[in-house]
Amino acid sequence: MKKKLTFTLSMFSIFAFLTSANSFAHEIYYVKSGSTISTIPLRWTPKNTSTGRLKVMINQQSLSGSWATYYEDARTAWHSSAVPVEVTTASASQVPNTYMVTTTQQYWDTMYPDGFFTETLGVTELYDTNGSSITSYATANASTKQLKGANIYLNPSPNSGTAYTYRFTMSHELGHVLALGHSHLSDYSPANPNTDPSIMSYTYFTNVGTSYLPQNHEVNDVKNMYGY
Amino acid sequence: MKKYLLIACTVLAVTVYSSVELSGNKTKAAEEPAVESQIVETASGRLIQIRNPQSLKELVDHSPLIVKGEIVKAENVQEEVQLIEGTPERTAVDAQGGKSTHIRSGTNYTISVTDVIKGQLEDKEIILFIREDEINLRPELKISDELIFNLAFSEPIGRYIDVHPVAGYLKVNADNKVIPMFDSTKEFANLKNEAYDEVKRKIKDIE
Repeated sequence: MKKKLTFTLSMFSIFAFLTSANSFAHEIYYVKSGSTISTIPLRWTPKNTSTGRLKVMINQQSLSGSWATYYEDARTAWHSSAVPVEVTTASASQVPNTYMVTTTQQYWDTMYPDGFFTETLGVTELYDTNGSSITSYATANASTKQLKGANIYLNPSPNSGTAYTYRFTMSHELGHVLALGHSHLSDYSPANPNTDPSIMSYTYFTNVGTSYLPQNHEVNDVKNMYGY
Repeated sequence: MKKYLLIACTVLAVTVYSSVELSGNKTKAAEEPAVESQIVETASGRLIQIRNPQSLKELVDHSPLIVKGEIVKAENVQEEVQLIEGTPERTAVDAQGGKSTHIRSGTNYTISVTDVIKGQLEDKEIILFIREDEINLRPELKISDELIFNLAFSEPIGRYIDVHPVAGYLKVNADNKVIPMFDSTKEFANLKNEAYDEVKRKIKDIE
């Protein structure tokens, strides 16, 4: 009897542990029709052939102001994390695959005309292996689904920028470079910010966030999506 | 040994499920909208910080134009924004082999203005632009809806934009009663069902 009870409780414990852990990977582009979610699985292709880790090589020369000040923090946050990715700054002899730029004010105000109480902080544009820009579900669907590069555009004059906002924004956008989607959306398996913190979640940023470092959520998402 | 294993399993099972339950309770509180500010993602993945007005005065102070008007037309537009050579954005796009234009998609709402509460306006009709990926951050705007709009003119696009995606709109019903779209502070919530003339007076008093 005891043996049976021990076995049952063991199985129950394992089941409880597995069902409480989040293993859901959020793709960057999806649509929902009824209760069905359709995703476009985009995948970053540059890899370090020696280590097998994903490789993001950044040209950051056009960063200015506080974006430049906090860039290194956001970069090392990913590079030093358990996510199987190396995020480095391209040297003069290396060809970058990612450009992080503080845009001109004219471009920003024309593309993202914000009212007094709102401000766009960052935008990530992905490029597929044909050089086509991906900024929506439709363009993702028409792409090769294989990513070769990305551009991160940053607000030249944010009003409400704190060190945390700069670090979080850049770290969050680097998550998009790896095709990670948002983890807070109510119709797409939202991550609980208390038990499953995620820098891809604005709920986490707004209500809980104290860290801009990739969390276990990001580690698991990348591993699930890329088969590490 | 078996006894200890049995106890350990029981403790683990209870701990796991009770922590899930507790965290569920925490989530409810955490998901309440923050009044001060919030970060939201647009449909295209853009990160936007929205700061909420703490008072009607703050909203009015930062609204160069406040009008009452009716939406008479809504037109979807796709406009090309040329990236200027030599700029950081153009350099980045060129390096990726991308196009030298970006697309700004959105909706032009034509508003037939019936009353100017704050600011100067010569035209009877103005155009309010909302980006396509931000539409879902706004209250639903339909043709024939009458609202109080809190606006600012955007020189780069040559049209008006709202100053706040929610607080910038106060609906005026057929019975001339006002319904604020933003009600996260008591002052805004108290405007609900007030007569339009009374709300106008409050705005004028602040002005």
